[in-house]
Amino acid sequence: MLFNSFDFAIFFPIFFVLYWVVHKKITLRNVFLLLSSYVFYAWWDWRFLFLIIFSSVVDFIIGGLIPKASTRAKQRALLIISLTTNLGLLAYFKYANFFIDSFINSFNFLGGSLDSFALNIILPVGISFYTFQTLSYTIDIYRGRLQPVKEWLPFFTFVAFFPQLVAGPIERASHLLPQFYKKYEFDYDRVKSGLLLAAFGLFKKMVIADRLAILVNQVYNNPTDYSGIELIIATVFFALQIYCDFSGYTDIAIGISRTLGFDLMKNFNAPYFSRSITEFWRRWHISLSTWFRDYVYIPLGGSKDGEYRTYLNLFIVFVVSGLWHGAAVTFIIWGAIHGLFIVAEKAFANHGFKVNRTSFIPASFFTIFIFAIVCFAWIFFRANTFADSLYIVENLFNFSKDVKVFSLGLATHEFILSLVVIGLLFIFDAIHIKYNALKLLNRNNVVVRNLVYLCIVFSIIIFGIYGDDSVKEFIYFQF
Amino acid sequence: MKRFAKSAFIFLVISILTFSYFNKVFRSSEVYNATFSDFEELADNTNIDILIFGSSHALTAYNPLIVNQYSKAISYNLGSSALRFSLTNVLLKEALKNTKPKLIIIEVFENSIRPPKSDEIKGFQLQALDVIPNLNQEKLDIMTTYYDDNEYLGFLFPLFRNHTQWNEKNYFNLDRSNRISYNGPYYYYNGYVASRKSLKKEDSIKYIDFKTVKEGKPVNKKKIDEKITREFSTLVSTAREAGAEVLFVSSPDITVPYNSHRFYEELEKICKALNTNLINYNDLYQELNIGLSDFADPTHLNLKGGLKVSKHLGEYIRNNYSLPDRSMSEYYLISENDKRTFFTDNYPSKATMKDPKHLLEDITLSRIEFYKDYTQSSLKILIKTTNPKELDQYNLGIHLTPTEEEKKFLHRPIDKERGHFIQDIALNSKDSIYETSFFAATKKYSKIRVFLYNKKKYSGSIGRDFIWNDIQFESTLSDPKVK
Repeated sequence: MLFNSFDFAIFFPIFFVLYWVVHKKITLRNVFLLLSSYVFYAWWDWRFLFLIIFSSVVDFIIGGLIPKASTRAKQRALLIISLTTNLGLLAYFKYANFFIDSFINSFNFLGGSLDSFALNIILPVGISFYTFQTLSYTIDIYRGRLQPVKEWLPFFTFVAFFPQLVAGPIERASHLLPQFYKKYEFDYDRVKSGLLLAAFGLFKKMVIADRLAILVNQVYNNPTDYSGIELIIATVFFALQIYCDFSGYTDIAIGISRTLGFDLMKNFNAPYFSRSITEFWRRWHISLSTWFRDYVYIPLGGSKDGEYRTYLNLFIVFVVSGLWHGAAVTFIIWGAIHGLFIVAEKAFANHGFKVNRTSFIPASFFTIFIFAIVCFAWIFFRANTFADSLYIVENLFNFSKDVKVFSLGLATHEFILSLVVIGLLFIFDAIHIKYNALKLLNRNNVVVRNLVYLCIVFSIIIFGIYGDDSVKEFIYFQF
Repeated sequence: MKRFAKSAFIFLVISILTFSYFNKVFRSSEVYNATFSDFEELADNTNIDILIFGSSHALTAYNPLIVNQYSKAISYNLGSSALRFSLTNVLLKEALKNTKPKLIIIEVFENSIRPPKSDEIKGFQLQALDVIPNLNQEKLDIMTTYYDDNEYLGFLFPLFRNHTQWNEKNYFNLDRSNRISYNGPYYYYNGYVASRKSLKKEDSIKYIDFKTVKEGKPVNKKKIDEKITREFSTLVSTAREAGAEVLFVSSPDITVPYNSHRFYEELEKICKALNTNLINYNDLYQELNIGLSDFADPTHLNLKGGLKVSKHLGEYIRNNYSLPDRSMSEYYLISENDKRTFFTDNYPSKATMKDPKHLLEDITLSRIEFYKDYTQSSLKILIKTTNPKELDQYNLGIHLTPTEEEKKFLHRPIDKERGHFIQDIALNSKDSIYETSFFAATKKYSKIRVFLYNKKKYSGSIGRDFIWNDIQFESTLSDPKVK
């Protein structure tokens, strides 16, 4: 079920009322939450529900066995079973075709002769997210940072919790799991702020991201028809599209969870105001970057093994991060670009090239510079093929063709509206960094507040893009 | 929880009111909005005896003005583009809330009994369905039968359907009636929308022998199924329960002899079983002298063809049904004026000035005949003189001043101010009759000024100008009864 679907508009109010009817008994509430989460997931494809249940069962059992294992070697063996099972499923569903294809290409490149083929595999929605979430549970138990839970119900609910099941934030067991043991009372202010956040997320998704997607899809699906300004516009629009799409989803997830009494971690913090790539990754998809830090970078040695090993570790993390996003060379390049810039930043910093990024002019320059680098990397992320991405890079500054800005899929008024909402988004983010927007809103009287709510709701209805399946899905669902 | 419920309730109420406003803003501008609101207004003022339902085949064929004239009753055409037969019952019930008709005329053709499949045809249904409240169970049944789940919101609420047109909508004027322009290619009267166009040349060639029923096996489509047969029965029951009889009609459609025989044979059987009458105008081409020039396109009559079938329908009703004679009613008498305007505006008509006037001592404007068709106007001017050679010196100028009402069709302010000029009609010693044809955006004139001026150089009019103020047009239709 998609948050931006009519089905969810029916599902959520019914769920919400029933949830607060059963909320007083924790077990009953968790049963209701679990079943609702399964219904939510099964709406897309019920067969893959068994995959979530299987993953939950494996990690619940292994998590319980690890502390009981008599030796560290046995604990490690149990962890390896968990890792193999979870990553094996991920590898099969997500990477099998990529590896087969890569193997055949390499084999043929070395003089062999193999016909290309592909397995008919459907990628289960959210598998990358819930796999990482359950893995964090067993790894943290293995590291002795977390005690296993004795009851299966809270754990299963933690794995399947529908607001963040399919696209995160990737929660740590230590943060989210205890919340399933807590009892919540209906809190008017929490519910109100949760709904407002969810509505704002929906606005970002349906009004901004989906509108920009029309132009982005047109250009990126036929890149050779365009050059210069058109490619630049499409790339910048994609940068904003993916931000609004993903952060919009996160806002809805956090907002919905808040209405139920749960707190999810922050996933975005105005990333395009970053003045370095390092800062960008502290603001973008925070739950994933911290996951990679804790479960890949640190196990690789982190920064303990010298300068050059640190650079290598960082680079590996970003390449793996690229691969996590998708089984394609373009994602690996995207990760590698970020890795290279992070390494370069670290190297400059380590060798005394400290830059003042705080005063207004350098800050503005670096903000624009970092945005340009991020946009450049997005080219590889968004391009349908490696060849497309090369064409776009080569023709980014080719201004020889006539520019037809208003023939890129968005009519003139739609294009102007896109610019207006992008402007509003930046203004909002700039204000929100300094002052909490919700607090600012709550300082106003009831009439102003209701007007703001109405504006958000009717902006979504009037200016939202819906009914078009090509832009409806959240981008991160495919990961 | 109580606080939340209270706030949520207040917000919900405000949202519903706002939604309702935007729903009106985003309604489509349709002719049918005007059709139905005009119908409600008319039904408030007088009882409507005859209601006509159907598709564009109905709304382009049956002119209430003419049907009224021959039936002596009052009729209204509620036809709607591409309307499917299955929707007629719900539309009929909605109409019955406003008036108590004695006769319901339902136009049927082969495709009208088929469910709407394409987005375009589905969209057409909404023109009529928008006038039905959303809480109507039959409307909801139609929604679930013919529309996909993802179309429900758009079906019910124009805001969802048309939200992408946010830049085109007028947010203050909520009238969404797309009124037919007087000067456009269509004519509108009480739901009747007729084209003034004629059949394209290629269609005239293709259907040259449309009156000849081809021998051989017709191209059969599906039979009328049980469900549709039941809908016929339901419709007749609805009408009879409301005290009205039903008359089924099939409008002229020159593609028919080639592909729909079986449909009409079955339609006849259904009508017979339901004890209702059926007029298939496709069988009356000879009797009504319907020719290719009566069609706007192969499946729709134009204004000229509409006159023939409307006259026949009116007479048929008068002869076969006992409807009240409304010919002395206030509405009927008022509509006489509409009728006169209808004929003079839409059919060839003529105004004549017969009193001779001297333009100069020897030059007399003896007669003016002003002919007007829909597309073209012409003036025939008779000049008499005792000295023909004098005519060689002059040109004739004509200045037409449109009525105030007509000036709105002129876009340029200077045209509104000056009116329409016809110059350079060169007089000569050999001719006494001068004809000039012209196209003009306006058709009604309050004044026509005829004057002479010097052929060599214009230096104002010469002699006395002739001013014709009282210009009365009369239809020149050959059938005197129709006048």
